[in-house]
Amino acid sequence: MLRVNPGDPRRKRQIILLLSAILIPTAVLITFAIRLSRQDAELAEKRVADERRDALDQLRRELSARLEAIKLRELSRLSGESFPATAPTGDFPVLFVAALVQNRLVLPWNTPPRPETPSSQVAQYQKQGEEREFLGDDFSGAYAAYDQAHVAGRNPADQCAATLSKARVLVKADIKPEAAALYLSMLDECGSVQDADGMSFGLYAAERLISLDLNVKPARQYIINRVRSLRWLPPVQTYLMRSLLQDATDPDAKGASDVLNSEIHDVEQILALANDLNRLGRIDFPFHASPGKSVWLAYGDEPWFVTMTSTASFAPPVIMAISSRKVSPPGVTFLAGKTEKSAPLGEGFVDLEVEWPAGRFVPATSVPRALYAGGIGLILGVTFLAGYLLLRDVSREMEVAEMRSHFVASVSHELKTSLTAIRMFAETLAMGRVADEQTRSEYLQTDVSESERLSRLVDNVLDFSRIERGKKIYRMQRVFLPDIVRAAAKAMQYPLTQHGFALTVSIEDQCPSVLSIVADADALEQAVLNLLANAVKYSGDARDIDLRLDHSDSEAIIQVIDRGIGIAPEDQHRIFEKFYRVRSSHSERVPGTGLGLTLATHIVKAHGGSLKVASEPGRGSTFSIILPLNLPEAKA
Amino acid sequence: MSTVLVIEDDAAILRGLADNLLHEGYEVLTATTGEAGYDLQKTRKPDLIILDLMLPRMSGLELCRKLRGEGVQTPVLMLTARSEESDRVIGLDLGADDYVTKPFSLRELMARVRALFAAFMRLPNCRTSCALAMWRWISGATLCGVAAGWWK
Repeated sequence: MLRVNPGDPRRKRQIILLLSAILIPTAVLITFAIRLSRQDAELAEKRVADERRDALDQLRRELSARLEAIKLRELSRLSGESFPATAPTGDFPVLFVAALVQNRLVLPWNTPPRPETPSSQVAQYQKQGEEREFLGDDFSGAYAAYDQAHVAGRNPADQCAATLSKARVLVKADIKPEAAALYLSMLDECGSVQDADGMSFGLYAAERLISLDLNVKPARQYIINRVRSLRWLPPVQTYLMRSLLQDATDPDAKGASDVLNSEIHDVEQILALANDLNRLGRIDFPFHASPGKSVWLAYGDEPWFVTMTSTASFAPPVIMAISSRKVSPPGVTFLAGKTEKSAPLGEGFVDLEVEWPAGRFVPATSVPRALYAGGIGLILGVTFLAGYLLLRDVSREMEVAEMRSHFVASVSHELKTSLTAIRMFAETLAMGRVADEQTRSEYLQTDVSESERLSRLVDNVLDFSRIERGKKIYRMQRVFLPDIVRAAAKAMQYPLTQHGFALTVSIEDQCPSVLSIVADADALEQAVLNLLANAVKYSGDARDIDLRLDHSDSEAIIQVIDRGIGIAPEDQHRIFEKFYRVRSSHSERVPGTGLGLTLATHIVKAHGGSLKVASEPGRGSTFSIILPLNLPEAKA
Repeated sequence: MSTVLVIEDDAAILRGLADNLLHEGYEVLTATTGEAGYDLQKTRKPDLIILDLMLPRMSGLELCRKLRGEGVQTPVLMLTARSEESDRVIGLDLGADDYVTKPFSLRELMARVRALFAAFMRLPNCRTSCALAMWRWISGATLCGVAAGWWK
């Protein structure tokens, strides 16, 4: 219980001193903890940055080496070949190698062998057939002319063109089976033959077969096979094949469609790249960042690594593109443009940005922040608890010191009061002022009673001092409890009647021998007398006091019951403390030393018993001394 | 016959004082609490009050201050177990006319009572102010003597 009186400057100073002794080190400790935590976080941040840089360096070295290896292998494979050379499809990372001609990128599909111009004879037959077919509607005549053109044709392109025309005329003449047969034959024979636009005659035939619904299945199969086996077909062919496969539902056709889509994507990207490079004017511009070392340009949404190289020192330069998807390590995303989370890969790579997977670089502090918070909380908790306990202790100490000074004043007051009475009656008697015998005896009685009160007071003070020093000795011997209770009642009889009190003593007539215990008779009597003296002091206007002795098999109970002012619940546990006196308007000036109950408690405990109180303010109090019976030897 | 009001909480002392005052020939009124004493003063108008300092509920000092505050000029003789100089000064400043510390000599107390009465009888016409002033002076002198003695 903290009873702080803010008005007392000495106490205030002490409390401030105490608080600062606790609070300042706590504040310092917390500041240190916070600084430590902040430093830790900074360190972690730095570590992450280092880690990120290291990872980036490593990635750059690995990627550089890998790309270089791929490039060299590809170059050695290609040495001696003419460009463009298309790489095998599948997992091979090289997308294309394209030559530079007059500083312009030669597209990989851009160099079909130009078909020779048809001979005049073939052209004449062809023209004749067309006249008959379109102007004269003479389909059989047209067919014959185209057939002659076919026979006269010196190269596959002329022959395939003538066959195509023949099949067209057959369709127009509604002789479809023959037309279908012609187209089918074309799929085999004219697959690799292209016309001046770069379109394959085989594809023309397949388109006819599908759109005229002549024989769809082999035509689609032809397209699927073509998609699987060839790469970098001219865009016209790719677009046509994709539209022809659009309505197909079987999984093979779907797979081929996907390949075509990605091919179209690549084609478009190559076109864009070519456009961009050409537009720069000097196509080798981005690749000459550091001479002697390859420089890789990142290009496209799923970027390609594009570089300029050549198969030999004297050979013309070529552009090589490698798919990033096929060379990138797992978890790393390459980008050709900056984003919020990306970091440039740096030296040797132009426009290349790297994105790490989320959560790869998390600043991991060596001590989690929650632990710091917990630690600080713990320190604060312990500090405040300790502060509270210390403050309470000091406050208690000071209270006891204050009560002790009160005690000295009380004892001297009590002493002087008794002495005054004794001296006054003695002087009155000595002056011979008392004539009648009864008054004289009353005066003498009062002197005796006051002397006894003095003795009790001195005994209490001395006993208390002995207890304080641990020197109190109890002389234990076998005594009969009822005798002690009666002796106490008798000792208090005169002062009680003098103050108008009625003491009711209830002890069984036939007390069993179990009430004969080993105890210090004087001490026990003193304890009972102290309780009786308290009952007198705190009776208020009531004048009845009970003194009872009861017993059970195991314990004896001595009760002192008054009907006085009682004790408030909050004071009930404190009244046994040394010097403690209840402060209230009723008991403000009740004389007393604050020792009675402390002594009684000590005495009873020394006998292995306990002292209990039950009280209700305004109704009185009951103090019970509970002593164990059948105890072979009480402790001193 | 002069009336003396004794206000004292210890029954034994109260009885001894009352018996002796009666023997000296005064009429005696007794009270054990400050409130009862105050009531008796109001109803019976005693000629002298013997007042204990330590009383339950209302202390002797409070009672003295209250009476003087109400203009009651009855001489007051204070009894107390305390003997510090400061206590006496406070008591006298609050309007007590004399001060006796416990344990006291019966003869001395009776002599002081007689002296107080004598002083007030000698000055019948200016009981209110002159006697008070005179006794203040006497008390002050006594106090100085006591203080000087204590200082030595």
